[in-house]
Parts: sequence; C-alpha cells; structure tokens
Amino acid sequence: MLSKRIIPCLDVRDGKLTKGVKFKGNVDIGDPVEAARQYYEQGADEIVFYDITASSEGRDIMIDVVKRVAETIFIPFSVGGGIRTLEDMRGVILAGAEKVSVNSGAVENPRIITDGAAAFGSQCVVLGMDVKKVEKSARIPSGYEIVIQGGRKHMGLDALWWAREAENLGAGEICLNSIDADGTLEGYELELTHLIATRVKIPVIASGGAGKKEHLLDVLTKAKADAALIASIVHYGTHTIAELKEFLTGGGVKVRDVW
Amino acid sequence: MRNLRETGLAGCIGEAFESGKPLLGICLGTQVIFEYSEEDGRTECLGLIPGGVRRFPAGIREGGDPLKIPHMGWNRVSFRGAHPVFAGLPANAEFYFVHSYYPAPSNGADVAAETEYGIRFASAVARGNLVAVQFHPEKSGRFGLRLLENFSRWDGSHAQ
Repeated sequence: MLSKRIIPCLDVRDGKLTKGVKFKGNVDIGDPVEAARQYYEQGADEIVFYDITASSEGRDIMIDVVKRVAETIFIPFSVGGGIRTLEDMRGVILAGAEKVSVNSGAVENPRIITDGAAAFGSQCVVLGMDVKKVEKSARIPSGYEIVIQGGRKHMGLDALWWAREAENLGAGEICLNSIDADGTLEGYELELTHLIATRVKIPVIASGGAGKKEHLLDVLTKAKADAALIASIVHYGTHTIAELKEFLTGGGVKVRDVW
Repeated sequence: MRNLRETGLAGCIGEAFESGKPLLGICLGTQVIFEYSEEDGRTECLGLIPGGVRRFPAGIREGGDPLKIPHMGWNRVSFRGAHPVFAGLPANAEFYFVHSYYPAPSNGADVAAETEYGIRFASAVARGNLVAVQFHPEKSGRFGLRLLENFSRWDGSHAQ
C-alpha cells in the first residue's frame, strides 16, 4: 500500500533559505543544503525547493545548490520558481532534481508542460497551482480561480479546469497551493483539495495552511490528498517529521515510518 | 528499446548477462529485460527473463478509494528468501516508485520481491547474475543505498 508523503518546502533566495529553519536544540540553519540534509535524516519523503530569486546570477547559484543537494540526499526532490522554458527545466534536472515544477510559466505558456513531459517524462513535470476562492461564475464554475504573483493577479482560469487541462497536457503531479490558507497555520483548504484530488488521476500535493498535526490528518483523509506540503510547522520546530508521522499512523494513515 | 538497439547497448546487456557479470536493472532498466512490454501497444524487449510488462489496470482500488496511475511514492517491498543484494533490508522498509507498468514474470521462481498497489506485483526479480528492481534505490534513502552497496560488492553468484 502506497504511503502518503510528507514534504517539507524550503524557500530559497540567492542560494540561502529566506527564513531560518530551526532544528531541535535551537540550531538555526540558513543553508538549504544543510536543511535538506536534516529533513532527509528526519524522515522527509521528498523535499520541495522554491526559488524566489529574481536575478539571473542568483539562478546560477540555485543550480549549484541543486547539485549539492543531489549529492547530499537520496530521496526525490523538486525545484520550482521562475521556470519558464525547457532550458530552465533541463538545467534543474541535469543538476540532479527528480522533478521540476512550473506555475505561472505554464499559465502563460501551457506548451511547457507538453514539451517538458516529452523531453523528461511526465513524472518530472509538476504543475504548481496558486488558487484563490472567488464567487462562482460562468467563467469560474468551481469558485476557485488561478492567481499568480502571490495572489495579486487573477488569471480568469478555473482551477478545476486548469488542473484537468494540465493533466491532459502531460503533468505528472499537481502541487495545489491555497493562497487563502497559505501562512495562516489554520489548516489546509480542504474543500479545494478534495475537489481537485478526486477529479484528476494524477497525485495531488496539498499546500498552504498546515499549523497543527490534525491539519495533516484532515487533508490526507477527508480531502484525499496524496501528499502534504509543510513549512512553518517543521521550520519553527513545532513538530518533527517523526512526530507528525506517528500522529498520522495513529489516525490510520499509512506513512513511511522507518528510514 | 529502439535507442538500446541503435546504440548497440541491447547486445552489450545480453552479453553481460550471458557472461555472468553482475547486472542491476532499475525501473525502466527492469522492464527492458522481459520479453515484451504493453507500452506503446506491444514493444519487444530483451527477453533475458521470461514474461512481460503490463499496465496497471484501470479502476484499481485500495480501501474503497480509486488508485492513481502512475504508482508514485513510497511503498513496501516484501523480499522473498535471501539474496546477497537484498541483505540487511528490514521487512518494513519502503522504496520510492514511479511507474505505470509493472513486471509480470512468467516464472514464479524469478520473483524476488512483491509490492501491493491495488494488485500484487513483482517489484524485484532475480535470476542468476541478474537483479532487477522496479523502484529507485538511488532515491530510497538509507535502505536504497544499502541495496546499491550490496550490489557493488556482489560477485553475481547466488548465495543460497
């Protein structure tokens, strides 16, 4: 039986973590490679890097980070943020990432999904979706709209339509981020997650809102997510990954419990 | 398969198998050692091990929920019997999978491990100097590294 995955997300800018990550004993770590190593050793099933670097020099630094991560951890990891071309994807994959995630780049040019899947295989192409709840309308029948630029720009695309479209174009997985829940620590957007997770045939990673261990249980059971992305809940030392997994096991969720 | 034939690697793999050199297949590298695959209609493969590679059937379920294809993520691998390449791996170890087609050896004796995903399938096969795994040991943490280390020390003979 397949395990539900627990995936820490690390935000990187110019080769450094944007927020410190605290580990037991109050060790503060600003190096993404070292943070990845700690999470790897603590039982993360996968790691997501989100590169918020703006400059092209910073991009080269990120490729170097990816190479060092690939030499350090032996679980899958993905890299996203600012991926716009097939060459961007190739750079990340050749540096050793298992998957590359496209978000606004795919909204602007959906062909990148098809091209990426043809070049590297669907399993390498993750569609990142930032979603906001809106009034249901003819244009947005699900009541969930795709946004970019951290939610500032509405794209007029229905989230459910876009998820299915991306699946048809060849995306191998969806990382579904609720802009409304993101950073609140009040729980994942369960309704949105359930809507997407039960209507596509590819795995869905729920993202945004995890503050308590119960939130993970809810999103993996009630909302049917295949994996849960976590950030603050582990970065600030609220829980270790082992504690989260123990709780989930107690709640009847199958997780990878030896590593 | 076309790439393997055009580059001459298909012949190299066959020769290595015949010569008794230790061989390790990973993921697609496991699928090509069978006689055929259902991928792209029917693809003729290397035929080192009797059997085929089949697509997960549509509509497979677990606990009432429909299962997604590809089978992507961590799953348990139940090893059968002792094999030097699988030495020291705990019974509850999990490995990272990503695939839509699964190995179906004709001969039960070639099955080295099994995994459940809606159906029970052969997640590792072994015959003589050949070991092949459907999962990715290079992405499966400590236990995956242990498997690779075991393989690197293996002379290709079966210890049983």
